[in-house]
Amino acid sequence: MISYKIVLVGNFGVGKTSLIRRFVENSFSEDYLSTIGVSISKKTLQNATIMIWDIEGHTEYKPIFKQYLLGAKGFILVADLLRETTIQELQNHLALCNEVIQDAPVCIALNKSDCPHNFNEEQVKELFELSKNIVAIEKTSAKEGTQVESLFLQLNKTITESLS
Amino acid sequence: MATNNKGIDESQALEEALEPIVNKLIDKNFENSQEKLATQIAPLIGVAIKEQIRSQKDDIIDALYPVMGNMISKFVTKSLEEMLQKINTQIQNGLSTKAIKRKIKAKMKGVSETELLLQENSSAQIQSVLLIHKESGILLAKVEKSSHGLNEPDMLASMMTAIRSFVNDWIANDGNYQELGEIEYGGNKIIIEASGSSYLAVIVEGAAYAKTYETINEVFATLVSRYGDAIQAFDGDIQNIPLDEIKKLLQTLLLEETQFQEEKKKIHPLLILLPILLIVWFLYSLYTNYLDTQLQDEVNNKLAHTPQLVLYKIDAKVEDKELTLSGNLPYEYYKNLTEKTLQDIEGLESIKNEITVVPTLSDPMQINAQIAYYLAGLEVNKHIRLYYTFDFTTLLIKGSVPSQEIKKNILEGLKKIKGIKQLKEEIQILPPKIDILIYFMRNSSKLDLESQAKLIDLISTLKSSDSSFTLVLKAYSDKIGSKEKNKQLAEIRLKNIENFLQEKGQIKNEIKSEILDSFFPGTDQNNPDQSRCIHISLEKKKHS
Repeated sequence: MISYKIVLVGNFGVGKTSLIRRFVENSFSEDYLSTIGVSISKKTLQNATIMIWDIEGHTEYKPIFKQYLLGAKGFILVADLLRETTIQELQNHLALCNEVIQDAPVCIALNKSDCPHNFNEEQVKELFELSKNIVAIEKTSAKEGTQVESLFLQLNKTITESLS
Repeated sequence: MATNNKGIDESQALEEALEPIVNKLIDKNFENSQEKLATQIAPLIGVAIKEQIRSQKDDIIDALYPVMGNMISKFVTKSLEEMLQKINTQIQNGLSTKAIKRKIKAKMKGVSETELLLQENSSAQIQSVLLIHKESGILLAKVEKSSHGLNEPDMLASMMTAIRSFVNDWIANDGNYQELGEIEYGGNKIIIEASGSSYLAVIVEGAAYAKTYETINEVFATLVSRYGDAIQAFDGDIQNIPLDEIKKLLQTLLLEETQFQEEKKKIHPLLILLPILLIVWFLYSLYTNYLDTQLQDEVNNKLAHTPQLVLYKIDAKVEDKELTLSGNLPYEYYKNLTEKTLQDIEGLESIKNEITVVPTLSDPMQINAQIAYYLAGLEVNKHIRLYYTFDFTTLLIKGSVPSQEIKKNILEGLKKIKGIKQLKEEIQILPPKIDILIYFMRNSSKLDLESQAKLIDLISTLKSSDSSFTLVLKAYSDKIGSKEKNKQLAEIRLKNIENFLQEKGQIKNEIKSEILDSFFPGTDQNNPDQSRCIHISLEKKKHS
């Protein structure tokens, strides 16, 4: 039985908690509750148990707490399609993750795809250039469930394959 | 003079004119710069008060008394109450046997009293043990008591790790490397014991104490030394870790605690207390027994030294410092005397006088005296030889009397003495000792007066003795003259004596006569007068 930890990293309000809730419980809530510190969820898959760490979103004044990233087998970086800055921040997040866990696989969720946006595939490809650790980049919607599970499962596949 | 007057008038006028303005200014100044004034006046106040106290002490006291007095009395009362309360709790805690035991235990074990107090008030039990990967927070192994299954241990492991990370990072800013040791919640706590790559989270119900930490530490040290490498190499696949062995090791933590509990159960405080109580009781009874023996000795001693009571059998028994008297006494006075004699003994708590007064009971001393008088009277008859013992109930009389009839009379006489409960006799009927020699003149068989008197005496002895005794007459010779002549003489002499006894006394005893051609034994051979005699004695008839 494989058991590992992944961490969701991203600016505040990008929808990290919502993505996890969609993946773990398959539910969504419109209410916004800012995560304080860290909240942890567990998802049991056929071949693995994933401990999903949902950490407090990054803000200008509050850097991500590195300790929470320790021991993770992979990361999901989350950005808000509607907020340009959150996408720009991805680069810093990638660097941070690589600093703490070298060469850990990363998936990027460009969230809130249910809302109208103008982020095209070209830009997605550019994002891939940021790091060789990026496994997948998906436009997700926690609200509608689009691409949420597949993103998590892609990361799981990469991790479990690397372990066995 | 005029100038002077004018000057005065002017200054007065000026004063009058300026007064309202100056007053107003001062008032305004006061209002506007109260703070400034306060700082300016402050140093003066101290001096002023000092001066005032020095010169007007009583006034100051009177002025302050209502305020200060109340304040002080209130403060003192409160302090006293607090102190009383403190003393009370300290006395309550300090004087109980439990506390004394705890103090001794603390000294012996070398741990703090507070810890023992905690231990007393709570039974620490390890409920669950989680082995957690330090960085990822992945739960590696878990053992728990079946009754206390953990809900979502994986979550707990991760959350614990998050909390640990947060706290450790926060503390690390201090410069020293320190770790989160435990988390308490309600009556429980999670003890954290960390090594390089993993840590143990031990969930303990109740307060943990030194032994718990020690055990956890030991077990974890063993675990790390054995499986540290495997844990360090953990990559997410739990199968790469010797899980069974680790669980087995962790299980000892739960077992350890259970054994500890059982051990505690085994030595129930009562089981310790019981032998102690027994020993105390034993020593106490030994002590009281010793006291009782001492008292008993003293009681017996006193009774033995009271002449009036010596003769009576008084049963005095001391038990638990209580004296119980029983027995029979003839007079109320004696009963009271007994009690009065003994009540002065120190240490005796009470006297239970159960002596019964039996008026018919005679004074044993008197009984004894009566017996003595009676028997002394009998001894006028020199053939009666009696001895007696009297233990105040039983009279045992021994000795010899010359006839059955005398014996019967004596016994009947003794029976008349009151107070002898039992009469035992070992009286023998023995012939009175008779040793009479009747001398004769040469060549004569005549009984002289002296001989007749002896025979009369003999008759009276025989009369008072049993007639079954045999009278033995032995005739001795002076060996002067012919043997034949001497024998004839002896026969006549014997006959004369027999006739005299028959005639004067009509005795019924059997008579045995013997003629011996010899001197009377032990007589001087040159003095034939002494040998010319007949010897008379009395013998018990031999049963043949």
